[in-house]
Amino acid sequence: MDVFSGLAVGAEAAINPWNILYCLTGVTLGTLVGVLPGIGALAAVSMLLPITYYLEPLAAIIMLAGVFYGSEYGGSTAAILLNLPGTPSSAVVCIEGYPMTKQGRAGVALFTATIASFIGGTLGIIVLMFLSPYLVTVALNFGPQDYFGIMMFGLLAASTIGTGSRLRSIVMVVLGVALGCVGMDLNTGDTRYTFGIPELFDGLNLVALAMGLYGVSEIISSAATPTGNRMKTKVTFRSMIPTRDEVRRSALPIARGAASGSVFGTLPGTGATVASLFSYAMEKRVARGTKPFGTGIVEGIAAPEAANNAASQTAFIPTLSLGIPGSPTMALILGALMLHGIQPGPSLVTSQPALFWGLIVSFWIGNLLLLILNLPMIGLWVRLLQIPHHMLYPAIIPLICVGVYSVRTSPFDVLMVLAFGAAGYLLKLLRFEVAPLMIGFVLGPMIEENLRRALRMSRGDPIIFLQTPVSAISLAICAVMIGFTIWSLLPRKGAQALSVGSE
Amino acid sequence: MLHPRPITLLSSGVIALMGLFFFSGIFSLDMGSARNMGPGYLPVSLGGILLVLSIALLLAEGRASAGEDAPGEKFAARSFIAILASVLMFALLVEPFGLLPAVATATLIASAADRSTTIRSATGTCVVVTALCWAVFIIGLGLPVQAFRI
Repeated sequence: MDVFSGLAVGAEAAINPWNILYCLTGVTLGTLVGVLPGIGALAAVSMLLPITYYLEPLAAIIMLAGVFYGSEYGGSTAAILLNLPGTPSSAVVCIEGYPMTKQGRAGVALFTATIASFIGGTLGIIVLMFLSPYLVTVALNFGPQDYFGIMMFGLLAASTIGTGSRLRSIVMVVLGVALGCVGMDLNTGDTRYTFGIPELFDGLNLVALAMGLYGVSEIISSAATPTGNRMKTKVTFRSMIPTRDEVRRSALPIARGAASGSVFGTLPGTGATVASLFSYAMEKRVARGTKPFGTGIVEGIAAPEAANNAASQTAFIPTLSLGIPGSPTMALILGALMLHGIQPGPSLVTSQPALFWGLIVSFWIGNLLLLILNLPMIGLWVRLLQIPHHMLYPAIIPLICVGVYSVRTSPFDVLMVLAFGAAGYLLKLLRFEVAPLMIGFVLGPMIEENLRRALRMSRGDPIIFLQTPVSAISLAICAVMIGFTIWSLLPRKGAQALSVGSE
Repeated sequence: MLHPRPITLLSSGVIALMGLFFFSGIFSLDMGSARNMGPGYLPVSLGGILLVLSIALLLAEGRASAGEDAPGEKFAARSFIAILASVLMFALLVEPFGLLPAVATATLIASAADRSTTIRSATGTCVVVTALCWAVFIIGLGLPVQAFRI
């Protein structure tokens, strides 16, 4: 199916009042959690997962995806106004955005961020539209060993998420895969690590894991932190218009940002945060402006914002065309698809064209809605940032509880949230980055299945993994990555384990 | 030679424990062979890998030269207890007493996490949240849960 007939199918599926409403809900919620420091897209998606049970698959994914890319719009708002990033990927926007606020030019900063986000997102969608179907045709020739190779690469790439030590992230990924083994083994019917508890036969509840490990643990950390400076800036619509010179200077940074963002979004393991950091660093090197960086330059806002939005759109490429999530949040969205009984992978595009293209059309709609939400309605978010912490967090906890409980009307699941919340917080105190665990958890069962199938096909001979190009190359890259990690851990003066920015 | 900091020791220990946990599946699960993987094959191997990684962690971070320590996050005891108690109370109350009492209790207890919260604002938040849950979950989404059970 070529792009244009695909878009036609998608438009038919997506452009109806209900799906547009879900899209609006998703992007609004996304902006909301993006604006609020402490709660991110990951927590929001996990909170919305139970609600999506009651929706059609397409509507559910439209909404969850809206939260995902919507949060990349909102993240810069708090960064600019409060010097507090709303999302990890907007941390770099603080550097240029906050000085602009102090100069009374918050409006211009917010405007630039929004427009850059829109253009970046749009370019990302275009890449998504043309690259995905192509990747799908390639992937249809994959055997289980190829999936295994790519998934292993995805797992190892997941370990590069986070600013902590790579070794620790690898540990988290491995732990995630192991946790994915809890429950009944589909091949034999044997129960693994369930202690006879029937609620565990289906495995650990993905929603409880996500909400506890990320949501609750994050709230425990944030609720204790004292509130930052209360913001008194007023932002009017007129104050948002930038000077012509600034518009001219933003054009190329946006283009460069969108390009690098598209690349990082497509690769598993890297995403919006890496993209924004990289593009800011690139702008610093390339810039020919008069004012130095750090004093409030639009290029320093435009480029990272374009990058992180492009990345958030292209993140759907591996997810939709290969069934491989590039980040923890993507893993959750993939999980949502599976909860609806849809098997992600190359066949998705052909077996569910309405879903695939409908989603893409919804991205267009979503980005337009976000433009409206973030420009004229910016005052809403500004006012929101003035609600004190101690009223917000106690509100979110019961929402999490209700959300998890409603999945199976099971108090046990809520207790799971408690357990994972405690565990997640303690792991964070021990300096573990918890995010990579999710990718391991979602990919684990699939990796096991593909490994089993591959070995069965080859009658136990591991050479099968070297026999096809995709598998061989992926595993070679994995070997190089592992080798590199080991090398960088060896005693050597000044050597630190390298890591890339967090997702 | 090895001067592990407490955090490294704890981290390594926790990981080793988890490794042991998964490895213990070797006693109860059928391992199978490479050709025909049994249910135990992967988790037990992962348990072994975790054990190895726990030692690697100790070696990598245990050297005195292994980089300076940024002060880590401190254990927020009040927040920890309040939030977790809040979730626990929800789990305990929701079936005997219904959704709304559980939500109200959970909100109140969670408010205790921040030291600066006043009773007045906590009550306010509680009322708002309970009303919101009623509107969104019971009326709006029509969740099959009991709102109020005396």
